[in-house]
Amino acid sequence: MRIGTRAFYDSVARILVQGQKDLGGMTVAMSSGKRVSVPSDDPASCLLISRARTKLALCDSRRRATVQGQQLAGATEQGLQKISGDLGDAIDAARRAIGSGISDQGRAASVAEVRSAIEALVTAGNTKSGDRFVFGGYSDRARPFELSGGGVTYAGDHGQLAVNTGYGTPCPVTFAGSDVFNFDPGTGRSVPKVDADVFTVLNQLATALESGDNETAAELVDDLQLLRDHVVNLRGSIGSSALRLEAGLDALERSELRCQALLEEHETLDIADALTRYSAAETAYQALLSTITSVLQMPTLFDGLQ
Amino acid sequence: MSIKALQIASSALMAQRATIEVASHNIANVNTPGYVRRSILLSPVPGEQNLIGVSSGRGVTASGIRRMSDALLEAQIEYETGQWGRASVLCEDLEQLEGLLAGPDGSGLRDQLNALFDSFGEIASDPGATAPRQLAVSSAQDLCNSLGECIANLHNAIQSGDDLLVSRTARANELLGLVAQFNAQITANGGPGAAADLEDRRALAMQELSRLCGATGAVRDNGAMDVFIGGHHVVSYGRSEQLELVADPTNGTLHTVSLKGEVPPSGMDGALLGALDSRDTMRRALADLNLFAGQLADAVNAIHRTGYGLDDSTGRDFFSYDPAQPGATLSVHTDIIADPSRIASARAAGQPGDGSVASALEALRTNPPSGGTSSLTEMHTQFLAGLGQDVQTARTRMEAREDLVAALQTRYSSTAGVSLDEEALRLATAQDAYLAAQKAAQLALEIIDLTLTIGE
Repeated sequence: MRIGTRAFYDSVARILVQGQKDLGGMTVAMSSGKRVSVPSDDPASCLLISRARTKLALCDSRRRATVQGQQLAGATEQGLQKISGDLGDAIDAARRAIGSGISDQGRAASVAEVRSAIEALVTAGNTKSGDRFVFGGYSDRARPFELSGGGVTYAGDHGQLAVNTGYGTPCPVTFAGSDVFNFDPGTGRSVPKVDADVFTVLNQLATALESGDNETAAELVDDLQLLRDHVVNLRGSIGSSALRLEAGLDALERSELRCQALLEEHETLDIADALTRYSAAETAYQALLSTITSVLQMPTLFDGLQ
Repeated sequence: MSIKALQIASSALMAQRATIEVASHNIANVNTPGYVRRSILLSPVPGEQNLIGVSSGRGVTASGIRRMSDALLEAQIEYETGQWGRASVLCEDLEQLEGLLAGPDGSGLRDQLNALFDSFGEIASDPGATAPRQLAVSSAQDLCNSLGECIANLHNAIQSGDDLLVSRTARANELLGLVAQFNAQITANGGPGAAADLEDRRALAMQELSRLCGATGAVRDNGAMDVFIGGHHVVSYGRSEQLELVADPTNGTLHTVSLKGEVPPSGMDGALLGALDSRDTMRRALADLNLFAGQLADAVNAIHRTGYGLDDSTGRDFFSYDPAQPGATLSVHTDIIADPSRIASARAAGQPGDGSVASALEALRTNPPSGGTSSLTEMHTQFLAGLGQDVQTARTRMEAREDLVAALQTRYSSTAGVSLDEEALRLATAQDAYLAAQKAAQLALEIIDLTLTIGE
């Protein structure tokens, strides 16, 4: 085929521009480290990348929520441990007072111990995680328990804070003070057999011990034991929540790894491969330049014209 | 006899000089766009029988100059150039659109959307805290601003496309008039071949016209070119029709192209149709973004209205927007901006620590809104991927057309293009022939001189 001079230079220019475009595209990809910079680079990969990025954002959000849940569950667990311990101490003191052969002084000391348990329990009931009261229900910003007129009032509600780990139902991380201390939320007490809250039972117990009414005191100790058992159960429950949170974190980590692997496959540039291809394209471009230079330097018939 | 020889040599001198002139003209125009090389047509001049009964001929004459074009290839180039013009405008516009909507990193609104849902998650984790609520407000405002920016950019792109449509239509009309003008001049000059330079300029105008509106031409015997856009005859001899700009029926502030009352003209192609195609794509994108904005606001508001803020207020919207143009007007409700504690997070009043409604808001990241089939993030992802697919398809089409036009032009240039080496050879041959004719003329003169001395 005949090739016109202008057509020759036009095609040379087109090849040069194409070579520069290829090199430019590879340079952009290598400088960004991404195989896909805009959706049109690879729409299918863009879809997968975007889903993976959203999933990663979700995992990150759930991780923060889970860590916060772990802190709440930890504080709740410590609070319940303290409550259980204080109740155990009060029960022990009461049993000593009820037991035969105790002196009046010893009985008075036991009564004092039972009464001091009330204050200790109020302190435990006001356990905080950060600035949140873990036994206040949903009213977690105000002190739920206050000593007033010899009794204790509960200012919280009956809500239970929970964390959505993304796996199964939301995981409870606190208990309402009404549940822990057997206040009646209007729907019945958590330990139905005991028709009073912990603080009332302790007050009644102290009074019974003071008056030497061992029979009543013994019954109240039994009630207190039931209430303590309930707290121990709650501790077990929060322990299982902590395990669920831990498992949730593991699952989030696995999910993140899968997303990262997907991004690695679809979004991240394989630098070794890119460098090899860049090197090949660069060599081809240099060869093209060299060929063009040689062709341009070739003599034409005009050089031979006299 | 010698006088006849002198005449023959003289005709050869004239013919070779003409050959050199044509070659020089070709060389001079080697880089002229649209120039089609010329070739001189030499033919022997037949002579009468001489005294001894044979005809030696009467030399040579330049019977004409041929413009080395190829009508079939020209027609193919015109057709493919129209398609290329359409594909390239669509591709350029869609790439611009992709840049506007996907952003420099190709993520579009994804990060802002995730930031908003993250902030709802933060509220769910600690509903009583102030910081996550302020974060939610600023994240939502960022999202609204980005969305508004996308919408504004799209409107600007549509308007710029319309401005280009207007200027391209004006240029197409100018070219139609120019082709008609060239037709008149070419036929007045004696038809094809007689006004090759005018034919070149007309072909160049036709090339641009094809790229603009997919016009095709057919040359008549008298050299005039009939021009067609689709089925419409738009140039006949020296008369030309004009493309008209009329108000777009779907949006009176924009224009569309009409020809003889047909909107848009059937069979029209080229950049004008590409501009209308890309406008349609941009409008779809605009509609999708507005739909997305409306669905986002409705989905968030529907859940938000069921919840209670820290101030125990309920029934509030989180977003506000004008249903006529959701994307451009989407904003965080002024009540929420004034007091972020009004962001609903709880299911009931007096439960500041309950984050279940905030949790439901966060779940919109992955759960479809009520009545929907895709989540909001998935909708946006699919929107971007769909746009990417459109751009990729447009790019592939454009590159295919570009390659095809380039291949056709290379083929055409094998007939029409000037080759300097070839012209040099032609010059050298003509020079040799000229020198030989000069020698022949000299010899004839010497013979005449000699003849005149007979009898002295």
